[in-house]
Amino acid sequence: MNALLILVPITLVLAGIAVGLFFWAVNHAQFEDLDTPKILPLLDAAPPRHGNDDAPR
Amino acid sequence: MAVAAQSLSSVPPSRAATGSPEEDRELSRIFTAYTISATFWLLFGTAVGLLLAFKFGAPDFWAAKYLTFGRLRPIHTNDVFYGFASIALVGCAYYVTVRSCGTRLYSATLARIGLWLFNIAAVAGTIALDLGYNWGDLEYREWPWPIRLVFFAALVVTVWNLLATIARRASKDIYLSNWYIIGGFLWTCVICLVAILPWYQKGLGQVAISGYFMHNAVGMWFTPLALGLFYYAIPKVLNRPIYSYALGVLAFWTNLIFYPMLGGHHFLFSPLPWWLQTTAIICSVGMLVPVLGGSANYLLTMRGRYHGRIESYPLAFLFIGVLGYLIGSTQGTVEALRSLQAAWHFTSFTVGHSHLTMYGFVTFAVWGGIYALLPLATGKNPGRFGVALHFWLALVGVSIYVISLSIGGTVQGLDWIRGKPFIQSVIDMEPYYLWRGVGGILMFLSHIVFAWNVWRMTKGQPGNAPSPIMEPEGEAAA
Repeated sequence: MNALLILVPITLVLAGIAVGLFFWAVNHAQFEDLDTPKILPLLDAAPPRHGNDDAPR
Repeated sequence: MAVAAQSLSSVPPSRAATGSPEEDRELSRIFTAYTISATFWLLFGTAVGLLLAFKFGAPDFWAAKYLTFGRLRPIHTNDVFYGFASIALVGCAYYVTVRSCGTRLYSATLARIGLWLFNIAAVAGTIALDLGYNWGDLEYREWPWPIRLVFFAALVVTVWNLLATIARRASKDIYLSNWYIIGGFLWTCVICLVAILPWYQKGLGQVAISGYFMHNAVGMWFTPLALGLFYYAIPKVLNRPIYSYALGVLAFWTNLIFYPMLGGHHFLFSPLPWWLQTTAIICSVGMLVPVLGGSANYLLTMRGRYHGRIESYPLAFLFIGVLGYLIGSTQGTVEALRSLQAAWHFTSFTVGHSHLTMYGFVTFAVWGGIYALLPLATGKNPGRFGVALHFWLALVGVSIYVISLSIGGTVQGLDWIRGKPFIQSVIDMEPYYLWRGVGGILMFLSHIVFAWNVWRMTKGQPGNAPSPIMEPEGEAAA
């Protein structure tokens, strides 16, 4: 039964990490645009480039 | 961060970097190797399963030491889990991740090492179980722990490779499939470690960990990988984007919130704390959100394309997979309610449920994914007749199997509630056990046909099936 003292905190920590990841994703604009990413599977080679994506290429 | 990850990766992504012909061939070889491995484990694991099905009706048949039910049953479950379904889904995940990121695979060598590790674990696990070395009756972790450590190593190698591939993606957005794939991998790494660590693996603590591992191994490993495959393969086959990307994002995150705590619903009425059982039930009901949202998303994407006749067998496999997901998962929520669990749990109904989900959902998703994507990778189509034969044998087989065990399991549970002698429930199950064997024969035959189709899509003579990518908005859309 002591396992619960470990399992429940582990689960809460992991749930916290998941929430953190969710906010990371939101803050990094992963879910800003919920329309155009859906065409990614239909493109085999050249995905669309976003205006705010200034990564060196 | 995404930008930083891109510039950090050894080769800066560019459109030109997307799959040179040689890199395409390399990806195709890896996808092929995983699929062939998985096909072997499917044939082996389900041959054992078929033998087991007949042992219910004829317990004395082939009852030598190495062929007893107690040894073969975990061999069947572990091999179809960790041999067939895992290897097949990982092979598809490699193709989906590389293609949806519009980039190249980070390392083909790591992919090969991962495949070896998966196979070594499955071979060693099978031998160990048959020789009688096991970790007790802890579901899906009967393999001795060093062998499960090999499987864990395969997970780590693979997720490293996939994350490094995603880090060099060409688009800013990480496509939904990759969220599911990476989420499934990271979570499964966690539960595999928890399940191996020796502390608390006794008494009730062991029960709690068993519930934690056993159900998460199903729902946070196979489910996310299969759903990630759906989000790529269904739009690909239909040549039409997913109905709602936003709904997919919602389904992903709610799946992540509700799933990890529901494993306790296999231990209702046990000495585990009542509040933990209730939490598990609440989370089981919460799973209706991602299940209904996800299923609706897939079905709406297919709108107008599944009426009347089958236009495309890859789509038909994916369609049945979606229905299996919808029906099986909703059934899981219902089974978690205390009043119904009292009748159904520990009966053959649960075996029917697990086949509806692992076969009707996951395995049909795998087949749909392979028929949709493998021809695109290798440039070889299977035969039209072979794919149709596989589809109908598997569908009729699993329907007979699940329906007979659902009815039989209910009869069995009611017998127990009425306090009849146990042997009466065995006698009442006899015809249903027979039908299960009949369904199992059809399912196994379909796997032989599948192996033939895989051969034609990879090494053999290609067949006459049309391209898996359908004409957009054909006459059915009118």
